[in-house]
Amino acid sequence: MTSPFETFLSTAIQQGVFAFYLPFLLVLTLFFGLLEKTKPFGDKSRHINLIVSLVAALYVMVFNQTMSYAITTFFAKFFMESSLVLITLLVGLMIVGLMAGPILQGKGWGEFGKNALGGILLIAVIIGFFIFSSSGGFELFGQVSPGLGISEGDLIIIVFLIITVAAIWFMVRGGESGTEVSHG
Amino acid sequence: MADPFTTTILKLQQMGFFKFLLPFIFTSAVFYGLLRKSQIFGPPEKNVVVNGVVALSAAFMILAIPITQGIDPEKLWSVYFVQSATAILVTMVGIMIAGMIFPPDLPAHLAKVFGKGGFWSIIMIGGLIVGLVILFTSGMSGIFFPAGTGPTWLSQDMLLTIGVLVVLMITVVVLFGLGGVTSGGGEKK
Repeated sequence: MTSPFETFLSTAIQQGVFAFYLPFLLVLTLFFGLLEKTKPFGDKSRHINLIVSLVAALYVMVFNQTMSYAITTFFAKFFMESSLVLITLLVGLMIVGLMAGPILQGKGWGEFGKNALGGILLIAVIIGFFIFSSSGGFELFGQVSPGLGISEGDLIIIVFLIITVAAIWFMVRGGESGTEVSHG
Repeated sequence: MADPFTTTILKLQQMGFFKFLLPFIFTSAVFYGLLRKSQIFGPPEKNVVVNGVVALSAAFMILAIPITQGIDPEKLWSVYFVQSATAILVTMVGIMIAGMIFPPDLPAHLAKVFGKGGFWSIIMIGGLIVGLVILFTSGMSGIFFPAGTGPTWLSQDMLLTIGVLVVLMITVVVLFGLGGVTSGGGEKK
């Protein structure tokens, strides 16, 4: 005998709740929330933010119809893996809290300096990128061939270009800080 | 039997809702909102008609794009918004992971810790790179560079080489220019 949850879920899947309605709701909320926070259209622009986010959400809803890739698969895997990572981190933090409880009590890790903050942010970005790739994000991004027809060779050149620009940036910054130290 | 969402979407597709109406609504809203904010024609309360006419004219131009240019906005916009939403979701999960360790309102905490340092430049450059990647992977760049157009006497390799050299030159000029200003300021002190 099937459980009521199974019956409910299979009906919801058949009715397209997961394929259309939930992505619509998710994107509408995400876009509207971020537009309200960043206010690209200035103050008192709630209605414009709503129109923009509604249009974006409707286009996401039509994605399943126009493209061969099922967005539901990606979202399901992505959220599953994200929750797993968050739970793993939670358990890790609980274990750390067992040993470092008195130090962290009432303060949190926010009291740690810039280096720790930067390092943790970097790790968080890497984990986010890992979840994205393992949940099939690259398939989602590889749906349409690039308009300029960028080959693998071109991509390598672009990557090295970014690395070179970053290297020049750090060299100049390093030089400036070195001068400051010698003056001090 | 198809689910109600598929039936509705198919009906709307037949009516040209995604191809014509949504780009029209989107463009008019964005243009009107930005004209209001930038106040190009003066205070927005006094220039509702001017802002509205400009925004609607632009939106009507966009409305005609599928017929005049042969571009299908439905596919392009849907891929673009899905990829944008994905990028936002990945960032959100990253912030959630970092938020497990750090105090509430991580952006405010970051602003407090990093102040106005180079950290925000890195964030801005990162955001711009992600935006550019989405522009290319969604196929939107095809609107700027349609197939078969552009300077045919230049090969793609040559264009790429020129692009790389220009970017490197600009970077060096900007960075050393900024360095010169900084060191000049230091000498004055």
